[in-house]
Amino acid sequence: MDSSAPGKRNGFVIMAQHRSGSSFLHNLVKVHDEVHSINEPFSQHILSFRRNEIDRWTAGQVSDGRYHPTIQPGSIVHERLASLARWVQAGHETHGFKETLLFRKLDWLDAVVRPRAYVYLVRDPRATIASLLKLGDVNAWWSYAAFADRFIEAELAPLPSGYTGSLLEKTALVWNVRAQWLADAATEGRWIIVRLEDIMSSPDREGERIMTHLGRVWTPRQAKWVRSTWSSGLEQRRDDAFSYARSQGEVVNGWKKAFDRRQVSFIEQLCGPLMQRLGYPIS
Amino acid sequence: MKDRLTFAVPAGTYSVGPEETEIRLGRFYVSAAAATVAEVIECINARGGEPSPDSYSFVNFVNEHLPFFRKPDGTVTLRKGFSSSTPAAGLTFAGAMLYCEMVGGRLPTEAEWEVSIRISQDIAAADNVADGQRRLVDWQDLRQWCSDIFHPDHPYAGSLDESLPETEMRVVRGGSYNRSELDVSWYRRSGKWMWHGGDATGVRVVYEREPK
Repeated sequence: MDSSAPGKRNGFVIMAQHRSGSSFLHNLVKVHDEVHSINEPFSQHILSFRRNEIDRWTAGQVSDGRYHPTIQPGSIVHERLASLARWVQAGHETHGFKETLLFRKLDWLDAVVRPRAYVYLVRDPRATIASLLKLGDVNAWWSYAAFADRFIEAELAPLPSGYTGSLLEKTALVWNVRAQWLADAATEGRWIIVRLEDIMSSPDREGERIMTHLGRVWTPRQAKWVRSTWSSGLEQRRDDAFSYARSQGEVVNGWKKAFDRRQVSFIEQLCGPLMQRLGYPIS
Repeated sequence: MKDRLTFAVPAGTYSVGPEETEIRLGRFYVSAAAATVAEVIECINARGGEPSPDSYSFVNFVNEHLPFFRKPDGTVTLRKGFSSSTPAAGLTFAGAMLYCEMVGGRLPTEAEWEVSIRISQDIAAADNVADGQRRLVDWQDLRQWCSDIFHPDHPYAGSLDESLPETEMRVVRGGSYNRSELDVSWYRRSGKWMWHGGDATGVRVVYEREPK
């Protein structure tokens, strides 16, 4: 567990909710020759993290020789965490990963991986929810209906007025809880908050801000790559689950065609305080 | 256990990379296509399956967008809704090594991978190519693991016998339609965390002698 050595910090973590452009940003930073990023080493690799989103894990649970009381030294999860921590800390290049889970374990994650920089990538919840609903209630792992029920049962999500339990409402409820966890964590100095819409409208300005935060420069190759993903021939791929090709207009305004006024009103009522905090105007 | 069709790469000195680095290679044989899901499953199970239910060692059975499913006894099976005959994505470096070993071969070095694709393109471009050989050129189905330790400033280190420190990364070459048209490029080179079984990375096999 070299990563727990005091003072040593390196690498980065990109945190984002599903359908917020995290694959896009993950691939964008990787275009830099000296930046390497892993796609979701927890949620796509280790089952126990998927099964256990609600429990809060803290830095205090990391002790000498153990990553967590529930993770046995010598177990495969312990070994993977050790490898990941070594990798993030290693070398003269910049290593990191993006993740779409662990929002209640960020304090613990920080103690295990010891990244130097965090990026919270956020997207307008109306657009995110529209995108999620377009995919349906995705699958057993990403079931927003099931997550919402769990959050309600654990009293993490008070029921808003007029709640009927529709899939849209449950998806909004889940977004709001997770966004609250992330926004609270992102007040710490090693975090920056990046809005996907700002990358779309001002890629060079936002790209430079992100790469500076990661300790690197924004390269012409990255600028070219962003624009290449907007090619008209690729727009039909925007609905692919993990595609990073996007139409600018669809990212920013596509949700307006997805909802009626009552639905927009529900999302804005529920998510309004966070939307304002994150700079999204309420209609 | 038998890998599929191979083709021969003659011994010789080859130029690789944008700087036309000269590398001497012995004769070897390379599988004509990436290993399929069925082939990988057979190999993993012949070695006892996936040892842990918590995370994977050889193939990514956690990501439900990949074709592997781990049963409680550790046996790996085809996930419902997937085809067993498609190129297998989702192998870790250890999984790729295991597959190669089980079919009697080894992973290509980065230089062998690049020379192989150049030769396969020559084969496919020739006038008198048999239909069965045309698929030799199809290197763009998946990115592929190479045996070289990844150091960004030291390409082809595995063939140049450079002494480099161990890292948690190995070279991956090529691109994949699984990701995007933008990814498809045979000269694409990247480093990959050894324990990552991604949706765009598979394996081909190199043999020292022609497999029977």
